[in-house]
Amino acid sequence: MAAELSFDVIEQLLVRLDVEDLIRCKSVCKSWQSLISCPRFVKAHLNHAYDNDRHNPQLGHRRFAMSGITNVDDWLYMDDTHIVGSCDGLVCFSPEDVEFVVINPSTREEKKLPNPPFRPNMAEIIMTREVVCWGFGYDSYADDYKLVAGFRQTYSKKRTRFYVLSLKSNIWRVIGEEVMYRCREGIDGVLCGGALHWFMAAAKKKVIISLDLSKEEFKEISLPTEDEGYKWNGKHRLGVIEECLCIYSCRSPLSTNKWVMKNNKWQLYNDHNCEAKYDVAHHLTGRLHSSIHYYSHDDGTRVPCNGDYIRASLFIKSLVSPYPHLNNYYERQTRNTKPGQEQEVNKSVESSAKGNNIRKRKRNRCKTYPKHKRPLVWI
Amino acid sequence: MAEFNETDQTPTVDPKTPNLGDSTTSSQPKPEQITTIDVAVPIPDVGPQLQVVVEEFILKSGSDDEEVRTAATNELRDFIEHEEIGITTLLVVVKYAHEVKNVDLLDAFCERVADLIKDKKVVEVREIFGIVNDFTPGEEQALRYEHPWAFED
Repeated sequence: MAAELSFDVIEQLLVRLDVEDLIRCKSVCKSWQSLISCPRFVKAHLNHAYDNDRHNPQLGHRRFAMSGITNVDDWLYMDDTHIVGSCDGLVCFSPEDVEFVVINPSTREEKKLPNPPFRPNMAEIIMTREVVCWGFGYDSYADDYKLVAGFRQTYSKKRTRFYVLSLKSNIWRVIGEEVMYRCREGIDGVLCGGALHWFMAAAKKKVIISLDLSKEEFKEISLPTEDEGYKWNGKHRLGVIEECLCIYSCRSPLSTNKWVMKNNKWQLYNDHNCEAKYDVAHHLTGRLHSSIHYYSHDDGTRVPCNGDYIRASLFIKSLVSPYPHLNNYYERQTRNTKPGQEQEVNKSVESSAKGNNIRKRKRNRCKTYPKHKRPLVWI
Repeated sequence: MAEFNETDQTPTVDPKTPNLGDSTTSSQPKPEQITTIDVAVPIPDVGPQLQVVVEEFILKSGSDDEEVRTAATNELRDFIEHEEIGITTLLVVVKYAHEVKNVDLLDAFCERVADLIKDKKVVEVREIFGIVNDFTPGEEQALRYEHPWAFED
């Protein structure tokens, strides 16, 4: 009698299960395996998880962070594991320097990404992270996840060149022209509304730069004005509150002086309801076994809402795979053992990046290419 | 308690139907309202007590007042949990709720089934749903190998 249940009904049941239960349920029978693995179910499960969290009146946000989160950028002192960002249950982090790994800590899948083809002027900087800003998010047009990294040649240089890697393509390419901004504090891009945001400076102006991940276009967002009662200082950072972009002070996040952007306008945030709510922070845990890293996360700790964790990326437990179009485990394994092939492509991106001055003139003639559809490799 | 007159062809509501206590709807739902909620489709045999509870819930879930619906859902959830209704029965109601397209009913019972099959082993889940394993031993082993940590006891 139970076997007469239609797939619609079985999907209704399965969509409510945890990731670990679903992994086991894949082994029940072939039709269940097929149902759980298909992209449609993965999205339905993801959306159900988001809805659940949204309907919990006491939950502020579910977030992902390193254990022992600090509010200050510590890249000056440590070239250590740093979380770049998290989206739909995928977490991107940098174990050191500008290496990148994407994991789904709930399914424990991992994917090492190729290094970006950028070489800073090492004579003038101590480590590459000094001149980097980065972010991770979702492109809804392409249904793909993207890692973005912006580089300056040296610490004092005022222009940043941005590169992007999408999980489906697995290669780096340049986004548009160099932008006349530089990022000094808060190098992790804050994901909000399908765009990554950073505090940046141009000449003497402080501004927020947003990068739309689908259109790959940059936009300037002005800070609140002095008339509105806002004064920028070096301790301000960007974060997310109630799914809106927020400016807060990293020295005292619980102080009420927070600014939130709603309907494209800045307003002072009223967090009187905060005491009744909490955030849940999941921390990255890892272990090394036979020189292979296994990453996971803890069950989540309750932390004060809109406090130290404002900057931590939003998180959800999901089935989303770092290998977006490979359903089969063995396909993923063989893909991993072909680093040579990937490096070749990246070398050609790198060599074309060096010849920038020449390329710029040619690029101006190619006006028929929309920015996000530029050929992946410059010839 | 609402009682259904099973000898009638068109379902009617017993005048003793409890007043839903809401000024926006009449205490006696109009007959057209009943047919749209489709209690005309008989609930399969789940035992008299559960049948009555489900029927009552279906009536309340058609209410315009959100508070009434929320209260009814909470009551239903408490009842299901308290009575420790078995999975087989739960699945009967799930199937019924899907057929009559009652989202709230489906939600409540699906939640409960999900709670019960959480943390269960693969063989236990198969037994509950009466599913025959169609993997070869090699295929099953390969699946376990993908995420060995999920199958640890």
